[in-house]
Amino acid sequence: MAVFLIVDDETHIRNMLKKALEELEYEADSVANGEEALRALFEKRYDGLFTDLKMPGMNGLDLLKAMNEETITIPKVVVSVCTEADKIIQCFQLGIMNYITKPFTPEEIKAAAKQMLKLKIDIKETTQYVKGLIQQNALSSAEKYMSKLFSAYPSSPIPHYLYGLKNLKEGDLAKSLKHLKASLSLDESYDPAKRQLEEIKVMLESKTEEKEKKGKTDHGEEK
Amino acid sequence: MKIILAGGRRITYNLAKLLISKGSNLVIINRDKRYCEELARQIKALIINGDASRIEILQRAEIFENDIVLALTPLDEDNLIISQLCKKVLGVMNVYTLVNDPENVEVFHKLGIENVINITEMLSGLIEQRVSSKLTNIMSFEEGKGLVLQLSVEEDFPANGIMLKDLGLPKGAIIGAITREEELIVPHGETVLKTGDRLAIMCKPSVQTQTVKTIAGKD
Amino acid sequence: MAKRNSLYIIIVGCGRLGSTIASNLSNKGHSVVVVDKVESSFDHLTQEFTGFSIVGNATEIVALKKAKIDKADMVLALTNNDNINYMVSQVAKEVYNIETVIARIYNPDNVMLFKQINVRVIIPMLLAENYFNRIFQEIMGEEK
Repeated sequence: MAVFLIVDDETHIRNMLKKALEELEYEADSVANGEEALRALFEKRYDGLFTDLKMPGMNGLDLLKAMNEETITIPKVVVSVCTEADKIIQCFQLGIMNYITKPFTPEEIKAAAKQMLKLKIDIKETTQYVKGLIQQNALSSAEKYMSKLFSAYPSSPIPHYLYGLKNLKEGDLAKSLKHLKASLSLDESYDPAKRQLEEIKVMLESKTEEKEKKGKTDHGEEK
Repeated sequence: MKIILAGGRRITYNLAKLLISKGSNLVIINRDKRYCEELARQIKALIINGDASRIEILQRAEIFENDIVLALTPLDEDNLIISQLCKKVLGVMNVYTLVNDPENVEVFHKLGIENVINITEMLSGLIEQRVSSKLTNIMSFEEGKGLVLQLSVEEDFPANGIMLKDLGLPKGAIIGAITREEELIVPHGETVLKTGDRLAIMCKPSVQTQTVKTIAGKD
Repeated sequence: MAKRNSLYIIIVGCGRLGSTIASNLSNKGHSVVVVDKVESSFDHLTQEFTGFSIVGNATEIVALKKAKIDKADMVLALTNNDNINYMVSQVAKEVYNIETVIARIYNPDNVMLFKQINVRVIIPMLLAENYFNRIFQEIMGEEK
């Protein structure tokens, strides 16, 4: 189910955000500053992040910068009292999806959460779509979508997996293996890549068996 | 027909003197007892000491539908209640209200109070007039749908020496009045513009630039 | 369990009534914003209050906008000034179309203005009077 990370130094703000999300039956973890947020982000895959700007220790802007450096690409929303234009612009330049000013209504939070999930759903839909394209051999179209996914979700196992499928279709088993392994290195629990990898291993084994058989026969004939 | 001045101090005092001198039948309502006593000494009008935002006080003034009410207190919320009581309860048609916060002009319009006077905006408009010599926006009317511009004709204007009917003003613009040597002229098609004429132009905002260009050339 | 929707409620005036209602509503899980001209008024709010507070004059539209009045489900005008309460009520109803607007007024004379715009009123004096009458009836009834 959907799970979000809430970052704010004020307890009652964290509570309000959590309550709004729970109304949509989403889960939420909350932390009080940027450092704790980063630790949480390394441990768990969140569907989105809500963060304040002014916090003791690592503030919101630093958190956003750190997330970019570590290529943690989940969608981010800032929730802050600050209404200064240049601060807001800075946040958007760091790749936030939306900026909500305090006081906020539960509806604003819910709408932002839904929007963040929509970005996630798009990766699912696109994945299905690309799979279809690969099956129909529309490989150059597939490639276009794959590179988009790659840049939007560089730490997701999916783009590599899709490349693996494409290479397989083209008959390049070696490359396919490479991509599937790369996919699993990003997320070792990604089943589709695991299964595909197994299939390819089986295929390679049977090919080597065939080669050995053929080699023996040739050998025999030559003699 | 009477004029009722509700609230306010300086404005009310001076306005009252002016209106009385023009022969108006005046009623003044004010909360401050001492101020009322002073007024009673100096002004020939019915002075009522009380809070004009209370219906019983307004009723003491015996306000009829064809009277004119001016809400002049320094607080927008008080002026709002006075206006609403007069309009909605007493059925007065002509209610004018002072609004202190310029942002409340639009708010009052949305709440059904049409005749709203905002001193702050007027003063800033006047200052603009002083500062700029050529073109001034005097005011907008009909909630911004129309503008009144004031422009003095200079020697080098293309419109100088031209008859109004030959000017080629854009559709949506008209020269409403010309002040020439302290006299106000209501122009017609044959009126010829002269250097020094102060034009009062009414136009839609969308043709403002074109209108000024037609008269003043490149400006 | 937390399926019940929380409302976004703006309370203008953080006196004794405003602060009490603010704390109650925020305890019930609603999102509450309290607006008051004077910052020290917010001291009336209890420790458990989990909403927002904004310092501002509610007769200035900019303060109402800061409280995001356009997104409010409910507006309560609870200052100790009837005229301010009326202005806030009328703006909430007629400019922002807020469905539920409740105002407290001390002077019942202007009730009709509120009723005309569909604003419910709390008139402390009348409430006290009604309550007293009821008690009195009970006492008289018992004595019979």
